[in-house]
Amino acid sequence: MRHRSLRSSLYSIYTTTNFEAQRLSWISDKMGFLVTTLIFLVVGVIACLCTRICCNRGPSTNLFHLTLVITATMCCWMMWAIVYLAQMNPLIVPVLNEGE
Amino acid sequence: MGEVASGGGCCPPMDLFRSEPMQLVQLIIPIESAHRTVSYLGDLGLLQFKDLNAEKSPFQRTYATQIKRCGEMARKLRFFKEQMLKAGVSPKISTAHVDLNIDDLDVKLTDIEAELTEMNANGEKLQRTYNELVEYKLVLQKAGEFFQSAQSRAIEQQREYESRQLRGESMETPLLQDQELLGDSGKPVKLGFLAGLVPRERSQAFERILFRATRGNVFLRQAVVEDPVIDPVSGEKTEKNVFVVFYAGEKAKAKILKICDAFGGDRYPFAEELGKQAQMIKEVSGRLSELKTTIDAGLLHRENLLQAIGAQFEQWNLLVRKEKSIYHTLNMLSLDVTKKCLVAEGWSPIFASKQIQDALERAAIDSNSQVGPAHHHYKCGLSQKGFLLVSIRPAVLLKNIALKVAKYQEANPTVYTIVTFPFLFAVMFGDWGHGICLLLGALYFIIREKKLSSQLDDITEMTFGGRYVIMLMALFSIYTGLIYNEFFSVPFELFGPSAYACRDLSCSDATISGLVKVRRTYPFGVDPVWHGTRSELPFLNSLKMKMSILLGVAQMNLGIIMSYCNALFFRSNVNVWCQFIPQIIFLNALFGYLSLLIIVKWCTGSQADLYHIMIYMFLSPADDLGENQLFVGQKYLQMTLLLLALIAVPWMLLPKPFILKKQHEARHGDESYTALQTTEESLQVESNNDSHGHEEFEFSEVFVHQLIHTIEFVLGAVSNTASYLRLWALSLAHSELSSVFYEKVLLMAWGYNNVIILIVGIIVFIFATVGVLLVMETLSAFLHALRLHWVEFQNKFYEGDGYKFHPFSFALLDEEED
Repeated sequence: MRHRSLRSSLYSIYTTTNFEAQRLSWISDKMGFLVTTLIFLVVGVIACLCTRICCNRGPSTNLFHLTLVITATMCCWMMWAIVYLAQMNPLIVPVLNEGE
Repeated sequence: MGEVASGGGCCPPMDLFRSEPMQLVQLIIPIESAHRTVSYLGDLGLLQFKDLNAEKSPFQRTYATQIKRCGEMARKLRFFKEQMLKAGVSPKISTAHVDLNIDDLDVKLTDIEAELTEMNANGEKLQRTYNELVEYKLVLQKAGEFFQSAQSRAIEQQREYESRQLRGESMETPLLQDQELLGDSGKPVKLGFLAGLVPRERSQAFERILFRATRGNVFLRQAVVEDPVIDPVSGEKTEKNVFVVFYAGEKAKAKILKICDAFGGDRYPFAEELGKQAQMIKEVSGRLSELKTTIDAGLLHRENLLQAIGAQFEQWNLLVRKEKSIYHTLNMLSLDVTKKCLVAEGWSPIFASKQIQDALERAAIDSNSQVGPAHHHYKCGLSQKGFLLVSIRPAVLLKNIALKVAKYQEANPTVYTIVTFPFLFAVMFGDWGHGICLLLGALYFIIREKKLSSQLDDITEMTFGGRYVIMLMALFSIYTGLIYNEFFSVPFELFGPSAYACRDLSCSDATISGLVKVRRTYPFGVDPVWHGTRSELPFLNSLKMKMSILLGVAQMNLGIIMSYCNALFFRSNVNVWCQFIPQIIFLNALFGYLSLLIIVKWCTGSQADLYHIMIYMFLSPADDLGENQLFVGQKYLQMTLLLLALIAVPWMLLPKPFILKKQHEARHGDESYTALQTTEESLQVESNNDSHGHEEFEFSEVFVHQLIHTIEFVLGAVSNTASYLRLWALSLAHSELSSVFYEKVLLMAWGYNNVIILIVGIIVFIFATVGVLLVMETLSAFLHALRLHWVEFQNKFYEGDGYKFHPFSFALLDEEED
């Protein structure tokens, strides 16, 4: 009797901690996503300002450079976001090869 | 249509985005100021002349004689350049600006040419005489030696003979004696001799043929000339021998003369007496030194002349080329009925009209003409030229990046392609080790720009021309390499700990059921633990395929939005409502929805089968989704989207032709009446129609055109989306190749613990990496990324049937000639 309740309580603790760990990692995943997106945004804005400061050559050229920087930032962010989201909730896990 | 519309009014128009607004100008120029006007317009360089005399042959045109004259002058200048090159004089770039009249230049050039040709001819003659004299001197010297030695031997033999005679021994008649010493022998033998030079390689044959031809009745002595002698006829240095031939009889002489000439031997007169010989030698030496001074003086004079030419050569050249181009342009203008003016038509950007007017007025004033020029503008319709002003660096970058020249004032895809092309390349190439190698190569080309731009062969020149694009490609490759976590296929844990760990401490079932995700997701890129695992490929394939679809849908949406920008600019409501909106709805209802499903599945971690969802959305949309449900209300959303997509197809097809027909009828109101009139009047109306404009409206043509467009879009939506999967395919190929080279070459060589095998392995690895991955894969990914742009991106909005603006400009003359 005691043996079974000990096992069941251990089991419940294990599942709770596992669940908690999973919840924690899920929250930190989301936070990580938002934080890194913000970092991309900030880097993009800084790059725009840098191009405006360094090569200020008339309104149409400025707009052109701005377009380039924004497009580049968007592309880079999109790629990172796709790879990050794909790994957040994995359906396949790494199965090691023999001999590792 | 075609009027300037600033994009949205909020931001300034971007030069690269659309071409400059152009206008058609018609100029009426009085004949006396025509030449000057065209010259000033050429300096300005902003007008492209239309050829109004296209049906005339080059000989029928007005200014054909002037062009011929310019051609003659150009020929003379080329001749001068040749002469200068031969003499080693290089034309200098002079800063003094001499204002030359073309007629004066013509006369001057003719004079100089005559002088130069005469000098050349004289020089050649003198040189030939000099060479002949040199040969003559040699003959005199060498033959003199023969005769001296022969004489001394003859005297010896004579003494011997006499002494023998005195001793009473048998007589030996010496074979040959000098004529003088013959004296009292009593035989009436007349010996003649010839002296000269023969080329050394022929001397043997010469001897033999002489011997045979005269049946052995000649005596030939040859002496070798040590240094090679300049042959007077050919002007080259050849090795020669001096020969002296003794013969008897006239027939033999004739034969010998002929043989001598046949062998290219030069004969010189030779006197037998010693005194005369010495005198001849002195004379010849004197003449030689005289000639030398004359020749040197001549060369100096010629060089001075060439230097003088060289100082002004570039200017003359430029002037002649300018004149020629001016006359070509004048030939394009048509002569007015009154024969007093020329009419010119051309295209120029609208911002240049003031400058053109100024140029015209200046020309009129400068040429003191009575009548001023006149000009009209016409605004351009859609079929005229595009004109893009680009600064140098983007021009190098953008050359041919869009394949076709943009139609007049349509949006230029190059603006986005500058970034998305290297980006898509990098998606297929992702490895930051290879990216760094590519970057080093591109930087080498860029840093050594000036030095390398001249001395390259074709293939390297192409690579050199794209050095900025390659640099961008390399930078993006480094980024995607960091995301795919591949450095020559080796992953690194650069951004924090891996998210996966064993289920329990002993890692007993790591090879069976795998690891678990215990920490937060690896923050930047693909988790490093994946490399080398058994489930690496299923995971990466799924990731990369979905990424390709997402990137593809994004780029195609961008393309459709660009078509919206075009429609907005050209104020075409038809295109906005009947083309843009149904296209966006169709693409996003199907593939935008698929992208949404992908993202939701990733975010929720559900095990729904996306294939199943998409296929059954079409086959049985009203069915319950069951375990494939990703979010609430999915079934109803799917049914709505399906309905929208189905409506979008006839919406793309049907309204536009009818609306266009209505618009056309509104513009040309009374066309339905032409059928009722008689033949003559209907012909008149038809000619009126033609003069009105370029639009005839065939409803069936427009409808078929729209049908093709719709089918192309609908089928293309599926095929283009699938086409983007090449991003996955090439990326997989690259990483597999890289991994094979690393594991099967480098690691295996390392495993043998032998230095030689290791070195061989490293060399093979380097060659394989450079040859296969850096060259072949780069070209392959370059090509596929370019194809994705030219087909899948540009067919959403780009017409590209424009012409490049090619103004009449003196500055462009240099580029053309070279």
